[in-house]
Amino acid sequence: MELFSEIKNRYFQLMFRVINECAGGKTKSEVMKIIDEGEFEQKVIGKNQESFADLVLNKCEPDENFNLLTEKDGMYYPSVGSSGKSGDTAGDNAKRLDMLPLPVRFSTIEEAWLKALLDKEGIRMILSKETVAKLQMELADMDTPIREEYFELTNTIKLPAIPNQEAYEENFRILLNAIIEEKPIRYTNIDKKGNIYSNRLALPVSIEYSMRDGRFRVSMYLLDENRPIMANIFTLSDIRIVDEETGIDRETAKRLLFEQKYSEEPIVLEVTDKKAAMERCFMCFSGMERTARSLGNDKYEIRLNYYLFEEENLIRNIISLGPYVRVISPQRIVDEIISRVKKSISLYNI
Amino acid sequence: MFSDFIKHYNIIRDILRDCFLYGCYSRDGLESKRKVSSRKVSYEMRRIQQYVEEKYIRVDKDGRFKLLNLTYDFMRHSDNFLVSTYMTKSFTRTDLITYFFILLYIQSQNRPCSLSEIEDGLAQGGHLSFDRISSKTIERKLAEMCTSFGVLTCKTVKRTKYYSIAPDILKTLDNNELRELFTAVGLFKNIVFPVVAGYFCEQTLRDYMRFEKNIDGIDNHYFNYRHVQFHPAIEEQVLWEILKAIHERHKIKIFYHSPKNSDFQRKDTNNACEQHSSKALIPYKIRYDVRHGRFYLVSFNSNKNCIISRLDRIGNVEVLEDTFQREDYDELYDQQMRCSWSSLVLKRKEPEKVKLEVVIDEETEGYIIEKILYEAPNGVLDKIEDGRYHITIEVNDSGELIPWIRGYAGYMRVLESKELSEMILNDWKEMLLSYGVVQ
Repeated sequence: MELFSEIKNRYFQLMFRVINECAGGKTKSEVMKIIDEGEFEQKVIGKNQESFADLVLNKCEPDENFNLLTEKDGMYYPSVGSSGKSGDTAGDNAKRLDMLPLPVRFSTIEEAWLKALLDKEGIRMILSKETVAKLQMELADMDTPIREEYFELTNTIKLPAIPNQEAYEENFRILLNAIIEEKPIRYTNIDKKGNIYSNRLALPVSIEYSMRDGRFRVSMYLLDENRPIMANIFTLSDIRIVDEETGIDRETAKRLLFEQKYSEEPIVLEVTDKKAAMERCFMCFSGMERTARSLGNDKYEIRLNYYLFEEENLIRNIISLGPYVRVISPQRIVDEIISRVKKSISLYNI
Repeated sequence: MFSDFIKHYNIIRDILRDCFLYGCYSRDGLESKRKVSSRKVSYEMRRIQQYVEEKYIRVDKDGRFKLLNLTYDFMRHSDNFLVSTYMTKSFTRTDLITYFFILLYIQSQNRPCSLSEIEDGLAQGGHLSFDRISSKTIERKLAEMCTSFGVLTCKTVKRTKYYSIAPDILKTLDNNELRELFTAVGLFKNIVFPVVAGYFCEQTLRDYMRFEKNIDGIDNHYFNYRHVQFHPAIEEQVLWEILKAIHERHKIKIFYHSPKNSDFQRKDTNNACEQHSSKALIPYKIRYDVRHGRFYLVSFNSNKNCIISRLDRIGNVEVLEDTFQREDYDELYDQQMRCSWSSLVLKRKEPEKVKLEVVIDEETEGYIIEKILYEAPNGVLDKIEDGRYHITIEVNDSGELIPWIRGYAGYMRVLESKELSEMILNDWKEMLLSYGVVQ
């Protein structure tokens, strides 16, 4: 049971798909198309300069060809159990066409992962009780090494328990369905200050999961105000999927979020590779679009493209990295950091 | 059979990590950082560019140097593109054809088949030539397909082994339930470690729906993530080996893959990674630092000392025959790690007590106190007066709190310990100096 296994090699998987796609026969160009779509952009070449397609289509030396497909009347079929073989009766063909040449089965490691998934908090918000029960029964004998007790997450945030778990789960399901069906919703929300926003119209775009606090939030395009928003799922109430015309689809709403909220100017940092600051810095910002270069003398420049709604978090993160991470630009952020640091020093001068 | 593939994932791990995390190294830069030949760096950089989708690859120029940079944006891209680097294990022609011919044959027979039946069937059909592939090879492949891959099952009847296609665990699920499962896997593939296995599971499920159920073209990109890092996937081969050892209660030996005279060896003289291999260790738990995306192995040596090892610094894991009782270490782990914020072990008799003062505008900044308590759940809060609070936290090593304290710049000062207070104050002064501000 290895994670790095040849059966998960991209070309193994490709061969698998080619064979199954050929169950009812495929022309050479159809096979070539499947291979072309599944291959690396720069095609692999074997020792004797043969391409993967040549080997699959048996165009090389007899002892090099895979011979997993066989050609008949210009069509390629799986070479074992194929319906293209002479002497097959109509009944044989029907039976074989009914049965895939290659069965699709989870590997042992996938089953182990799937079993762990069933124990995950939140899984029942997506899978019905029946689905969970069926999978639990099928996987009863799987002794998975993926267990919660073997892991501990650190640097997390422990938020208070959600007051009404049942309502929260129901909200989650409605929002997920709205996203799947690409339908808008109407809802009521109460913000932190207790302000009530009733009967708002929004198009849910995606559900966001935070690994730090384990919470789900919903990203929506608020149609009443034509702007993207993020909301806590548990504070929403009276959510219903509606059939109203929105004039916007999910992809466009996403694009607007990316465009409107992306900073035009990157944050440029200078990082000195002292006390592991460089590694911590690059790890912290690994999810952001960025470029970096060496400035010599153990100094590096990193340019971070960021979302404006992330700015406060970003400033906090930069300060938390300490004196070896310095903002070069924009000046606005430099000034903000200097002001906070000065305020910190002033706290010690009380 | 294709040189683009690799036998061991370790071959590309370090260079892949450097390209992804830093993206500021040229070929020469990596050569001197990793202390490997220029040829090796060239090979691996070329492989990485082959394995990773083009849209995530950026080749920047720094003077005459080309910098290979792998980058993404967490809002736009929710699929971990580093997982594709696991779909690259090398195979021989024999590996490929024996695997598929065996599967094709057993499936076509639709009944359990013995080794000789499989051999005869494939030989008669002219599919396999036994001049080139021995009976032993087929037998080995069958065993591998049963135990390691799990696509076949084996039953022995009167000393003869009969091989069948593994049972279909999804057979009882209807199409709607399959869609549900596909959505669930789409969400949790980035959350349940090892995530690589989650992505494999998603691919198999997609194939299952396409080929077995004729459900095609469905999407499950309904989610995006915050604080889900991609780079830990690079360490999941090692993670998987350790998880199996923890589960099977086997002791392990770990081999560090740090190059000679590497930076971290010089700097981290106390780190366990200083040695090249460890003695027998009891693998107890994996700690994952969500903020940095780092895996740590918490293990114990024969003296019951707690040893922490970063997975990115472990090259290989050797699973030993010796076993252990996990329960024997529960109390020890709790005692050693209960007050650790990330990976530091308790080195003294009691945890350190850190006392902080938080100054806020009570009217508008009350949320800061809430936030602090959510982030420091064992913190004890005392309200001194409106806008002034004291928070006491017990921690294995106050050094672990420094980045967090810094994050509350302008609101927090350290009251205890004096050393920590001075350290933080010096950091602030150094920071101002770095910006050219003289107090």
